Amino acid sequence: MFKEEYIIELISGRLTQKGYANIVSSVAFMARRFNWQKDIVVSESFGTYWNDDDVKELTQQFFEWIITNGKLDYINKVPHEYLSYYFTQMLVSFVSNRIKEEQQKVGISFQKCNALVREIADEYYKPVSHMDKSYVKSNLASGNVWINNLEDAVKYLSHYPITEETKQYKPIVKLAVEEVLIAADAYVSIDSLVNAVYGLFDQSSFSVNVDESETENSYDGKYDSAIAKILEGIDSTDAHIFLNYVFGDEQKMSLSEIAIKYNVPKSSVHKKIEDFKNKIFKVYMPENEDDGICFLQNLAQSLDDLAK
Amino acid sequence: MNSTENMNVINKFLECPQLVGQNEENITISGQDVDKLKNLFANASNYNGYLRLLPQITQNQIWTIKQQYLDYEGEMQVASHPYMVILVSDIEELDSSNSFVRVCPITPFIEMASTSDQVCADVSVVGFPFMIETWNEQPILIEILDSYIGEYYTENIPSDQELTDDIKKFREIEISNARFLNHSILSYTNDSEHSSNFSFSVDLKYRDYIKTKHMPVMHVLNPKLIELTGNEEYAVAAKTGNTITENDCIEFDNNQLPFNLEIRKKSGQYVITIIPKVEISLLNGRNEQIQGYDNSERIVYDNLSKGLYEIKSPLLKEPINIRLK
Repeated sequence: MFKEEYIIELISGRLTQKGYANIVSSVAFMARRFNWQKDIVVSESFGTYWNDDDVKELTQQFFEWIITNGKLDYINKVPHEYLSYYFTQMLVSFVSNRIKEEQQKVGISFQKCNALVREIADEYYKPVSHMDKSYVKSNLASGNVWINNLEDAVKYLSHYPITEETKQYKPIVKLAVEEVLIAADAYVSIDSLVNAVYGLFDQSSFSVNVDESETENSYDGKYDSAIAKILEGIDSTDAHIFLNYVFGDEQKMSLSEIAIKYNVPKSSVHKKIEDFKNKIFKVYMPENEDDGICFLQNLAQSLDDLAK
Repeated sequence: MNSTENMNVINKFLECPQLVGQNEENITISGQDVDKLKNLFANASNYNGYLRLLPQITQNQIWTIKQQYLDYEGEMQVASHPYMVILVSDIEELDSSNSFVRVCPITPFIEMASTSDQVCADVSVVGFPFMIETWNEQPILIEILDSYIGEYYTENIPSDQELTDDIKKFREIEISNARFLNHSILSYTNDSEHSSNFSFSVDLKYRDYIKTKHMPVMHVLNPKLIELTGNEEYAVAAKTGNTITENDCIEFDNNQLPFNLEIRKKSGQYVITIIPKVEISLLNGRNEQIQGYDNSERIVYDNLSKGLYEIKSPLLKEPINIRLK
C-alpha cells in the first residue's frame, strides 16, 4: 500500500520527488505483483512486462481519474488510518474499470471463449476421453457417435449478439454450449465445440459497419454544425495535436513525440485524443464510407484553420 | 473477455492485500515529472482530517478497527488491511470488564455489490461510497474499536438475487478476512477456561518480546500449578513455594525493557508499578490517558480494570502492549 506521508503530500499539492518516486514504485509493485493487463495504458513496449514508463503512464492516468471523478472531494472525511488503503482501493478499482472498458471494446476473444467452454465442460458435463481427445455430450443427447466437425450441426442455429452492454459472458457461452450439444446429439470433441460456440457469437457491433453503396462525394455545408460542435472548446494547441496524431499521414507523430513537443503528459495527450475521437463518433454518424471520408476531410480542414 | 476478469482484479487484491511500504521497486522520477503532477493537484487543499469524538458506543455507529491488538491468548493479531465497521447491535456484557458488539464490515469496493446489497452513495459519511457487508456480521470485543467515524442507518433489503461467481468469491474472501475481527471474541472464550487456574495473568508484548505470566491462586498452600506452554510462565513468587498473597507481583524485567514493571491484583483491581520513575504515559483500550502517582523512585497506576493497556515513552522504540486478565 502507499505510504501515508506521501499520499498527504500529494493531496495537499506538495508532492516531492521522493514522494512521487515512492507512489510510482507502489503502483509498479501492484501492477507487477498482480500481473495487470498492460493494454490499459498506451505502451511503446511489447509483452506483458510493466516497464517504468508504463507504470508512470498508469500512475498519471490514475491521478487524472481521481481528479475527474471527484474522488478527493470529501478526503478530509476519510480517517487518517484509512487513507493509504483508500488510495490503494481506488487504484485497484481504477484498473478494474479500465480493464472492463478495454474488454468491452473488443468483445469476447477466442481465447476467452476457449477457456470458458472448457470451464463449462468440466463444471456441467463429464468430459470423456476417446482417441486421445476430450469429448462431451448433452445430458439430453442420446446418440453415441463421436463428432469432430460441427459445421453441419450448427449451420442453422441462431447467433448470440455480443454488445458493449454484455456484462457476463459465461451464461451466454453456457447457453450456446448446450444448444450446440443438443443440435449435435452426440459426443462432441471439445476443440470443435469451442470453434462452433465462438462462431455463434455475433460481435459485429464492435467493428465499424461499412456500407459499400455508392453515395455522392459532395460537400454542401451539411457538416458545418457537426464540425462546429466537435471543435467546441478546442484551442490551437489541441488542433495541432489532433492534426499530428489523428490526421497526420507521412508526418504522423507518436504520443511520446507529441507529449514532448507540447510539454503535456503522455496520458493527457492520450485522453485528449480519445475524447476527441469519441466526440466525432457521437456527433456525426456517416451515411457510408465515402460520406465518412468526406466528413473527416472537412474536419481536418477546419482543424487546419484553427491551428493557424 | 468479460467482467469476470474485471472483478478478479479486486478479488485477487483482496485475497492477498499488500502491507504498507511493501514495495521494493525503485523507479527514478525527474523533477519535471513531479511538476506535471503538481498541476493536476493545484486546487488540492491540505488534508487535515477532523476532530474525532469518543461517544458512547451504540448501534448504527461507524468505527475503524485497531490495526493490531493483543488477543486474550497473548498473541499479537495484525490486520491485513484497515477495517471500518458499522455497529449493528448495542453493547452486550461478557463479564464485569468485557463487552462485545455485533458489527458488519464496510468496504469501498462497491463494484462487488449485488442488487440486494446495501450501498451508501453519500460520500459525506466516510469520504467515499461504501457497501455494508450485511452477510458478514461478526461479534467483536469492543476493545478493538479504534476511532468513531460517524453514523449510518442500515435498512433491510430483501435478498432474492442469484449471485455471480465473482460476488460469491468476493464474499468468501471477505468472510475469511473477517476472522481478524471475530478472533477477539474467540481468544477471549478460549482463555476463559484456562484463566480459572490463576488468580490473574498479564500478557505483554514489546517488539519481539511476547510473554504471558500467570499468578497462581492466592491464599492457598501449594496451589495447583498446571503445565504451561509456549510463551507462558509463572510469576517468580509462584516458584518460592510460599503462599501467594496480594503483595506478590508479576514482574517483567526483560533487558529489552528500559524499566521494570510490576503488576499486582488487590481487592479485584490491578496495580501497575514502573521502576524507576521515567517519562511515561499509560493509555487504556479507548486511548484515554490514565493518571498515576509517583515519588522519586517509581510511578504507580492503581484501580485498573481487566483489559488492554498501552505504555508509551520516549525510552521505548515502540509502545508496550499489556493485557491484564
